[in-house]
Amino acid sequence: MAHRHLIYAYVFAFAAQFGYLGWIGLKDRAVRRLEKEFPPYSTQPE
Amino acid sequence: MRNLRWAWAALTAVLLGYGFYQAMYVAPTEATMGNIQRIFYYHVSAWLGMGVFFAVNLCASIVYLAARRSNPLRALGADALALASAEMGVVFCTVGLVTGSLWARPVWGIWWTWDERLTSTLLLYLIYISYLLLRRFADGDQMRTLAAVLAIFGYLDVPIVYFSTRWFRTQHPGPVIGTGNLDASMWPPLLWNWAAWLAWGILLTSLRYNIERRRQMAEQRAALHSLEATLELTK
Repeated sequence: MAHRHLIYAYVFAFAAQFGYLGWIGLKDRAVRRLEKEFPPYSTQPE
Repeated sequence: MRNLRWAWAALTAVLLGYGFYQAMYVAPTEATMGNIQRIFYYHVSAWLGMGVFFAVNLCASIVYLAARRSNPLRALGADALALASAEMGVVFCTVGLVTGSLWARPVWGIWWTWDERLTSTLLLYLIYISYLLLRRFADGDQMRTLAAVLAIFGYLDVPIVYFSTRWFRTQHPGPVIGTGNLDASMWPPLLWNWAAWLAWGILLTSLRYNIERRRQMAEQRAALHSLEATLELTK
């Protein structure tokens, strides 16, 4: 049981951290969509 | 900035790989617990990460409260950092709680016990979950102010969590850091994993901070856009 729990712990640690990284990716996509709708102001003449 | 982030990500990947190698192959097998003790290197690193990022959240919340009237732009930046660091802290706290429970089952024979260390940690976790829920389901300056105040009160639990094993007789093992209770050969794996997970936390927090700042800017433009549209209508 001990070895199994050691593996579970390490797998969970990486899964949680990379899961959060994936969630950050989703947030980035949502913000990109918002930025497309309301693009940053430009100093370039149109 | 982009290149710096990639370089930091590469360094983090190397540190995580080396930390894993140290914990699995270099660290000695503990005499009474055996290999299950190797959870310690990730478990303690998660708590260190949690402590660091909740402290960043506290500082950013104080800056937000101090600057919200005099310097709203700086306050918004501080608010974005507070959010990013709170999320990172909660992820580390989740890892700490779960790895601790996975260690406890084979060693203690139970998954959980309501001793002072575990209970105060669970309370801390719930406080920061409620902080994130407040931020998720409310908006505007009032929400930011409430969240900053909640973060300051929430952080009061961090020293209680830290000192609980010194103040009380807990089922949780007593302190090993700064007490000489940790074998010298176990320090290098622990320090490598601390460095690795802190580097990881800094990377993710900077990514999240950047996204939140961009969201704030886009929302300001959206608000301005709707204001302009309203003015057009009233003309």
